[in-house]
Amino acid sequence: MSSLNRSESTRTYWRSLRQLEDSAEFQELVSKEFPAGPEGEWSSTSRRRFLQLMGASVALGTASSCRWQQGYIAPMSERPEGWVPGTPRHYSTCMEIGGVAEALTVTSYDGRPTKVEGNASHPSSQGSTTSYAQAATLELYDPDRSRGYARYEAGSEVPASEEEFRQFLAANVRPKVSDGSGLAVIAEASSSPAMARLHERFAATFPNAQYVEFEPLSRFNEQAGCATLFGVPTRPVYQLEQADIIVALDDDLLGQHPDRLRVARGFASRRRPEDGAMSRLYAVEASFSVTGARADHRLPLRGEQVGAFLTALENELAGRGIGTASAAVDQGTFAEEHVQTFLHALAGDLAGHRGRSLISVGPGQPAAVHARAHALNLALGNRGRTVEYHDASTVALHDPADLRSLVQSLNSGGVDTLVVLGGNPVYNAPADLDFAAAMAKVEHRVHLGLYRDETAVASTWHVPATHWLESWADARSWDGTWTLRQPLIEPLWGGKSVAEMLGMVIGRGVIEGRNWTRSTFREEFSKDELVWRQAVQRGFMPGSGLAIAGAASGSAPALQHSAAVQAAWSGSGSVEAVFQTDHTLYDGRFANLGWLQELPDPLTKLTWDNAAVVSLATAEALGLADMDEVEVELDGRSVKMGVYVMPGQATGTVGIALGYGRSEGGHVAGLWVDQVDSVGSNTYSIFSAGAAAFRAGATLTATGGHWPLASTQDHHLVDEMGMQGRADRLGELVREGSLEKWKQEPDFAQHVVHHPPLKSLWDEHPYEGYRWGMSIDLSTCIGCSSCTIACQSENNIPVVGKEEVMNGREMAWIRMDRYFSGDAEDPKVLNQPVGCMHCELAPCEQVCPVAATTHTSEGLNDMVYNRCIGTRYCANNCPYKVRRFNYYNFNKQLDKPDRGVEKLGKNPEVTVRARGVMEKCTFCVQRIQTARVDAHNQGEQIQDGAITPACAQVCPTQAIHFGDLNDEQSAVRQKHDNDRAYAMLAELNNKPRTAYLAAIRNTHPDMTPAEATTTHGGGEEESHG
Amino acid sequence: MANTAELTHAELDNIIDPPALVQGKDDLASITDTVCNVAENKPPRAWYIAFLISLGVLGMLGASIVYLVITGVGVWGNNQPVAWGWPIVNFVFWVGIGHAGTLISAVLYLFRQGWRTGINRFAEAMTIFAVICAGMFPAIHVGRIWVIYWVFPIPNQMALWPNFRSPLLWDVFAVSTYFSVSLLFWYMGMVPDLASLRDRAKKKMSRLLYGIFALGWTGANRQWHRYERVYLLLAALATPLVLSVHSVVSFDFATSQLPGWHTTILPPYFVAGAIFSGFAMVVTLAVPARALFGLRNLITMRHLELMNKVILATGLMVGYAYAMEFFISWYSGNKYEGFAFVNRAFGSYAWAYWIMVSCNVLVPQIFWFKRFRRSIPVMFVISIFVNIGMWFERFVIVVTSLNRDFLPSSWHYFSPTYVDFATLIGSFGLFLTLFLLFCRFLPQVAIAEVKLQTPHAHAHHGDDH
Repeated sequence: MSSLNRSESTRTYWRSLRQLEDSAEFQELVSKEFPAGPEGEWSSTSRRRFLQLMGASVALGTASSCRWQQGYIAPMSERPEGWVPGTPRHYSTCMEIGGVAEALTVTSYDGRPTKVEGNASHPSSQGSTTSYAQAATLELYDPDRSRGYARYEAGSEVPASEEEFRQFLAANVRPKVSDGSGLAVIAEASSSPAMARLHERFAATFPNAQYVEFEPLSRFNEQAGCATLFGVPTRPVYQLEQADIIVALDDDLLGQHPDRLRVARGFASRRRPEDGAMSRLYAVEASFSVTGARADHRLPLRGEQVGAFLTALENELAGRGIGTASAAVDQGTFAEEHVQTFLHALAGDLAGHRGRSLISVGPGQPAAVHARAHALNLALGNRGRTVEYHDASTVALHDPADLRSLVQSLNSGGVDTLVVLGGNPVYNAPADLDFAAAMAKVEHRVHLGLYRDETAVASTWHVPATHWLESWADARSWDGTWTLRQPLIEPLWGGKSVAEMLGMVIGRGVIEGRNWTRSTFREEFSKDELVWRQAVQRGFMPGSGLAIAGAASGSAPALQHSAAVQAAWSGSGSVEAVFQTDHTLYDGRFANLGWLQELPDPLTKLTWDNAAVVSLATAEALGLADMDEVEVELDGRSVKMGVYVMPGQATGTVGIALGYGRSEGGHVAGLWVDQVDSVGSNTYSIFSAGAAAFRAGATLTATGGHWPLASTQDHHLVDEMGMQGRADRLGELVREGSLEKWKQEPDFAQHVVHHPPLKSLWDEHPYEGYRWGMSIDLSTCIGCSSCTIACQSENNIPVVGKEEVMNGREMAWIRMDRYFSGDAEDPKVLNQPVGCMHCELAPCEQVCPVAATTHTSEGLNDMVYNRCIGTRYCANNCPYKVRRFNYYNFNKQLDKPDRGVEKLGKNPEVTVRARGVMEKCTFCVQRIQTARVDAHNQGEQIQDGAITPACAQVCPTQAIHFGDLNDEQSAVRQKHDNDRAYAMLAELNNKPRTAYLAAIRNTHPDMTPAEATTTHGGGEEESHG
Repeated sequence: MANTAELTHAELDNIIDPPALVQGKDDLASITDTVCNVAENKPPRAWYIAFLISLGVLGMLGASIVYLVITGVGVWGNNQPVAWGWPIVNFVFWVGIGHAGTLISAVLYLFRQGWRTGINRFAEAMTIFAVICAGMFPAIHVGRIWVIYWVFPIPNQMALWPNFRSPLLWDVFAVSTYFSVSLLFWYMGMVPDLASLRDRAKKKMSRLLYGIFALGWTGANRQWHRYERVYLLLAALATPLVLSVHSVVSFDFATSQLPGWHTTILPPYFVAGAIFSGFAMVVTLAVPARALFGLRNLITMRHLELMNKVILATGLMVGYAYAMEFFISWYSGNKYEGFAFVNRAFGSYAWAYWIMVSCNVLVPQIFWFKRFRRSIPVMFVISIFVNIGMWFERFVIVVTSLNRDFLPSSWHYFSPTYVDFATLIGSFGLFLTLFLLFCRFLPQVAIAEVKLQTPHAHAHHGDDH
């Protein structure tokens, strides 16, 4: 610039600047903190400057050979019409777990699926997703997936080909089992019409073959219980939006139910006090569930007491003229006063809301309890309003006991070919069946699976399965809606879908997934090509739900309870083991997915482990403490686990999650042959087949060892003083109140913290364009933690592993804070999702020495990874502690050639962060930019709702809203203006852009503890209303 | 030679009665001999042993830094929420140590405290080396050390400047200014002594090297005149730095909004603490050095006693600050602030807090007794206690405040790793290596200045009186 000063033209330039100085336009430019861009600085280029720049460019250009390793991109020689490289496409598909479909819309970049979302138009998902579906891309690109056929000979693995396998089938299987005798198939539960059709062909070909569907966890008991009433397999479908009173008996309706997305959405619709009458949720359960955490009243009872509780409830209701009394229970047996109060309140509520109440029972309870509960639903007149019973004959779940008879014939030598169509029975079959030993007696053991897992290595042949994102199929959602599964990518490692595999076994022509699905559709719905194409595009067929079951004709059997059942646990003697589906790993099939392993359990906040969960009283009685290694013995079998002391676990029970302790799970879950230790303990080893998921008679013996557990919320080390400090501030951080309080003072949440007027030392930014903000409704948030996984998938957040979680270096951008309040044995739970608040006066921005975190003109608190040098000062100064630091290169494994396939799953819109930089929630800035480009191309403003961050999109209860706070009509602005809205730690004058809406509990007047007030002392923690 | 200085010393002698600052039978020549002999003769065997040990420990530092840079900052115990752990603790600790030098050299010079002469060179050297150790920590603690130069306002093609609002940037300026002024001051004061060494050097190499650094000093009157002027100016320049450096370091904490950091008392408290720890470190080093190199007559018991008095005084200031922090946190009525301090004293790091209080407040009280103030073993042990206590003070400030801040969900315990230990211990290796080299090759005592304090220097003035 110095050369410019000397030239004549520069003087002109300066003269004009002086003229400009006084103009309003110039004043505005000066006052702007965010000028439009640097054009002004560069536009007037002198000859010298030009030569300087050109010289430097040439020098740098020639030096480009010193750069990083180069990659080559081959352009498509023939680009498909309408295909714009780098532009995402969205396809409808579905995922089936346990015979229930979850309808999805999957985003694909240049042919590789990267992000899973819910299918917004599907009646059951309505745009939301479960954590399992979110993690699907990680599973698809899991480097540990089976990459080809294999034979197992004398314990060693021999690579094989499809051709060899076909020859094997032709030579060794089909001739021997001409009518199917000696052939057995174990399949996973399926609701697929195409599979049903294929099964018919299978049964016709091999009439004497055994075909068993096995799921370690299913809602079969519910189906069986309803069947005693309706005569046919029946499936209750809940309408929580209609229910005033909801009773979840050992049922995690919101967290584990196959239809939980729709259930939770319906529930949430009745939890915003300003939207009409709130529902009241009662939960009776042994282990704390997501539902129990959200319940207005929760009663911890042992699993075996739940049936007795139901009987007592029936008796209470019979006293009010509803249903019939069940004679088996002596009314006085639940001696504890709080149970009595609970029963009275509940019975009163149910009697007062006939036809607007709902009783649901969890899959772990015996069929008889289900039958009694649904009989009560009928007696209460709930059918057709809050619950509808559908005829589930076409999608009936199979009795898990079928496996027992199969094992008997395996043991008797009646089977010489066993085909395992997916599933992993060697790992997860009930321990008392000793499935592995029975299977070993079979001569030909064929396994189809995504991984070379425990069952694969116990087989003689392994066939790689296609992932559901790689193959055609169909399935039905919980309400029966026919949902299509279409592939988004060619099978990465070849392989067969379940239908294709079964077709190979049948051997009458080749079954090809797409054609078979298509032809089934033709038979089932329409031959019209247009209908098919619409179905493919939409992903489902509207109105294809299950038929409503006929009138109930049967009656439920009376429940028998021993007198001891209702008694409180005496503190000695046996403990009841309560087995539960893991919140993050399901039955263990997702054990190799780091995202899910590292997703904290919604209640225990444990990652990378299952633990023996006991209450404080149980732990004291048994002399156990957190992280003690304990041997859990049940029915003569035992397993070693770590102890986790959990407030609210029913006293006298131990909560045990299934799905851990894999020995052949993969490099994440555990792979003993490669010296990769199992994550957690294999609790299937003490899980026996039975009518219920709980079993008394467990003993817990401390081994004296220490079992480190990685919890993301450090509850272990909190001392007395820390507890007090937490209790003092909790009511300010997570604000909640009863419905009564809200009615009296709707804006009570805004008067919790009193602080002097918050003044700014300088003129604040006007934010004249967009002003992005978020709102989170704590009243509807159920704490399911799907947002954490959705964010991880969207934003390429790395997995750090158990050790680093224990070191406190987990990377989640949005975390689910969980606090307890009240009595340690029966606490209330408060959930609070916390991501970056994008403070207008962000403390992090002030302290960064290199200005790597800065503010945009729209109020985003941007993180410039390239500029970050990693002083971590910003993290220290963030009062919400939402900043995450790359302490190591957490993406190092991507550079390993054999794990590079993982790269395909990364979101190309988001930088994969390097070691040594800070990162945090960006409000999904890439989605904002996409919406901006779209709006710009349309020549209009960004419309409200055009931007949905990943966390908001996945949320089943729509607790999270995002948008422009300057737009008076936007949803997020409405939420910010809500009386319940408050800013966490607003007294620091950060001006956070995220507003929380206070949680409202609709408690029963009889059980409302003196207006949830500030009673200090006594409990572990207290809360402010 | 400045008459003023002579007059002042004369006056001082009247005020502060002997014991003389230079004791024994030393005359002007023997002082030169005593100091220069250290550099000219073979050092004692103990020096070699100490040097080898220091080098070994320095090697450990090097290895841990290499490991750190190759692997990532995760090798330390830092976590979320304790994003600053031992490296920053060590940084503040070393900067604190580096305070005594400037204080002794500049402030005491300006106040005409003659007793400084015996120890000022020594203390200045300590300052330089401590600041080197200190400066190393912020550099290696960042996530991407290879772009650390972005903290300097270097014009660049991105037209990006550092963020001048960030206290870390102020730190960069404060510490680098302090370092350069201290270095200059130290070197400046050494020039006449380097000339003595040059003049006495028997080997060609030493003559050449000392000669280069002596800058052609001849001891001419004009040179002495200019020397005194520059020395005075530098002293005046350095004096505000004594207050500013640690004040700015304290801004790292004070300007943040973290409970436990966000307090206005921090700047004076940090300065007092820095002087406290700096003097303690001088005592720790002076006690063995005077024994080892036979400087007992130059670094006398009076010097040591005076330093112990400073330790006692600043220790009381620090103790007052501890108490005042508690009072203010209670008086503010801010629950987060209140919790932060109660948590310090009674929370999961209570042990660290009580180590700090014991070492910094309780232990130095023994210096109220003259007998202990003048006892070599007692002062040595206490100075080490103070060093430990002051390290823990920084640990308490950094770690206990971070480990439990606003949201209880984020609370997390911090545990150091072996690399943390290796780096901390290694930094002592760096310090001692530099210090031993200094002892071996440079004049440990300001020869020219000490001579002013000898009875000889004052003898003829005595006649005047």
